[in-house]
Amino acid sequence: MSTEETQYDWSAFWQGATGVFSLAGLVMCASFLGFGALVRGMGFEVWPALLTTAVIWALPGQVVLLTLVTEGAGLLATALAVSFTAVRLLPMVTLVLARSALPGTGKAPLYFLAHFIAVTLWVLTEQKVAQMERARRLPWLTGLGCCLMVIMLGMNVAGYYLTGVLPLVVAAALAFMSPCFFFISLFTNARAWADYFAIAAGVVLIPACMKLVPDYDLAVAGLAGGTLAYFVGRAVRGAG
Amino acid sequence: MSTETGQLLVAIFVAGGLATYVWRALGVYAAQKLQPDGELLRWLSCVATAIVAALCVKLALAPPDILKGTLLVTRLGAYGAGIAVYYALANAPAGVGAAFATIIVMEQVVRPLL
Repeated sequence: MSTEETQYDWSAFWQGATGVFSLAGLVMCASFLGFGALVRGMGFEVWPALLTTAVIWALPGQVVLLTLVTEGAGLLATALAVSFTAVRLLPMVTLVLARSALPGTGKAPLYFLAHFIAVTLWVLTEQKVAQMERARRLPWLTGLGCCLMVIMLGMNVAGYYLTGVLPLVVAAALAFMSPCFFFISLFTNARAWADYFAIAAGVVLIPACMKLVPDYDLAVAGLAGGTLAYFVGRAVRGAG
Repeated sequence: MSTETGQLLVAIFVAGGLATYVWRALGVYAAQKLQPDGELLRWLSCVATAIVAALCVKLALAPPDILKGTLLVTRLGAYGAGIAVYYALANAPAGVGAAFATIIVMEQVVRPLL
């Protein structure tokens, strides 16, 4: 396109929806099946599984919320605990939007897409969006996010009612596919030395952070490790 | 609607949805303030990468209930096998498949021999 892009091309929305047929979509299905089963194990009806998926859309936060509710924790304590697990979403939202938003257009599409952004959408943005025309990126991601959510709601229901059908070891292996996919994706998406340093720093720092600052372990390991990796990466760039 | 249902609804929307979306909204705000391809975004990308790497290791060291029955070496071995196969075949799905197979083999075949 030769003209300046000033409007989103929403025809890309439905193409984004086809992005659910991917490794990322498959791995997410395993996680959300597992979450459905977990919610049943906690003694809830099926609707809290669905509602937390729809309004939180980040599994660690969903698990923390329902766990604290069963323990009878107060609203403020629960909100703080959930909020700590969600700090990681800030950089991901910023990075996804930096790649996909059109400057000078309305903000509503940004705030809408932001609700669907978590690790998976960030990983897919790094992998798929670069080759797309800028005007198609945000609609593509929004279509993908909406479609993923609809499917994952279905997976919650399936997981809730299929509990006990799967052998325990298979259920455990399925539950661990998300972290495995995320970990491999970090290497898939790494382009500069700084990215590899950041992976190494996160891995090395988290055991100590879990002991020393258990409530803020991810935030501290991420900020300290990421900052260190950024400067080391910059030094290497400058030297090379 | 019972009080219990009402309390659960409030918890999900306020302590869940709102407490989570705050960070996403801040992310939108930051995206509008930052230069695309600027140094701050590079830094943010390093932070996000370190957070996800840390999260993965944390899930192996302190696993959620469903994984408590598996061995630590199984969980760490799944990462190792996943990365090794990903690099050997230059194929991410193969890496995830290898991680899955590692868990099953470690728990069903190797563990009974220990």
